[in-house]
Amino acid sequence: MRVGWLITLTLLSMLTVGAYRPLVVYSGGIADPALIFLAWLALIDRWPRILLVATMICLYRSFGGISSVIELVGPVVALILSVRWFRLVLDPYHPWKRFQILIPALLIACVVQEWLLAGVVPGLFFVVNGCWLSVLVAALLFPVLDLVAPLLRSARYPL
Amino acid sequence: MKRTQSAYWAICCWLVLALLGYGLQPLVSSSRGDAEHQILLEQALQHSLLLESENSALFDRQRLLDRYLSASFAGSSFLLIPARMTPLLDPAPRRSSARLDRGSEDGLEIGMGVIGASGVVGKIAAVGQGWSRVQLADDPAFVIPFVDESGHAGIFAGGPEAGYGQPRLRIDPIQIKDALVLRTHGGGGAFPEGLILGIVADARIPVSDSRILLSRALHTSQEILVLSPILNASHR
Repeated sequence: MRVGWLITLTLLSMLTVGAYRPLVVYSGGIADPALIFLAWLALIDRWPRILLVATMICLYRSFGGISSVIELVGPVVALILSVRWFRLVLDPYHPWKRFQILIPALLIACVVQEWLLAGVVPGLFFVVNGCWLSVLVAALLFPVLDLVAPLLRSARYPL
Repeated sequence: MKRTQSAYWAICCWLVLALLGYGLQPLVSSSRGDAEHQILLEQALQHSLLLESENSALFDRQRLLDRYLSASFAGSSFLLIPARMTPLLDPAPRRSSARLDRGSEDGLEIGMGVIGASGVVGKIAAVGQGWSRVQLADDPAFVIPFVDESGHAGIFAGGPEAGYGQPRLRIDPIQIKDALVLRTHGGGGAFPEGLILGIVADARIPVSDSRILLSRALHTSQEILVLSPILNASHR
């Protein structure tokens, strides 16, 4: 399993989270570039690589923070499982249909996150804000990720 | 070869975008926050205490202690432990925290209230030797009871955005309106009654969607006081 570029891309996605933090906070975490990268990976990649990235994201967010383990792991697990479940009914390779997998999966992850964090389900206004921002971030990030796919050296990515 | 080159270019573009985001961050946060804060301060001019507390954000440690020791609540049920708070970015983007230069050696414990010159700052969330972490008042998991000017109670929760909170629940029939100053209720044991919590910046229906502006000094380096409850015989 070649993971050099996978780790680099994960670090880059976490750097992006820091850079666009006000946007991520405003969207309630739905437009989180690190989670969008994880969702992109979960669309077609293999489980060990998905779990590696998920672990890196959780570990990074746990060091020096005040989040509990469940608050970190819960949304990530919800995201991965949602993506893997939605891809059973929608084509993950299709350039548009994969957004239909991504957005509901991110939404589920956000609801789980807010529920674990604040004990409430986010309101409609919050969700709508988060959804359009996540579409915007994903629309920017997915073409870049498609371009870097050859570096990941996996047969799962179409040539 | 061409595909690999494209991949490298894509990574470079991504890196540039990320760095650009870091560069733009101070501009976005300061202009938006300052404009909103200015409007609200003008609305709240009649609340002289609020204005005074904002101006006193530069108090040094001794003046901060003097200020709260002269208040009626202090000394009765809380021990005031001064500390220096340094803001930091929590690795989890939805969380809001800061670091203190004092820890378990000074008797700090998880759940203790933290106050600054402008009122409520947060609660202690983690403690170690020589350090502790504060869960700031705009953290989504920060929840305390509050009262309005008429003494009606409700539950305050941090978030959903940085620097803001929201009334999670109304215990009494509170009428939330713009520029309403909210104070601590005193229940829960972390904070005494009457400390400034925030000001209603945007009253909405339902009430839980309203936004409460917290102190502007929340995310700045400042002197703070940790409230350590004094347990007497009747409480044990």
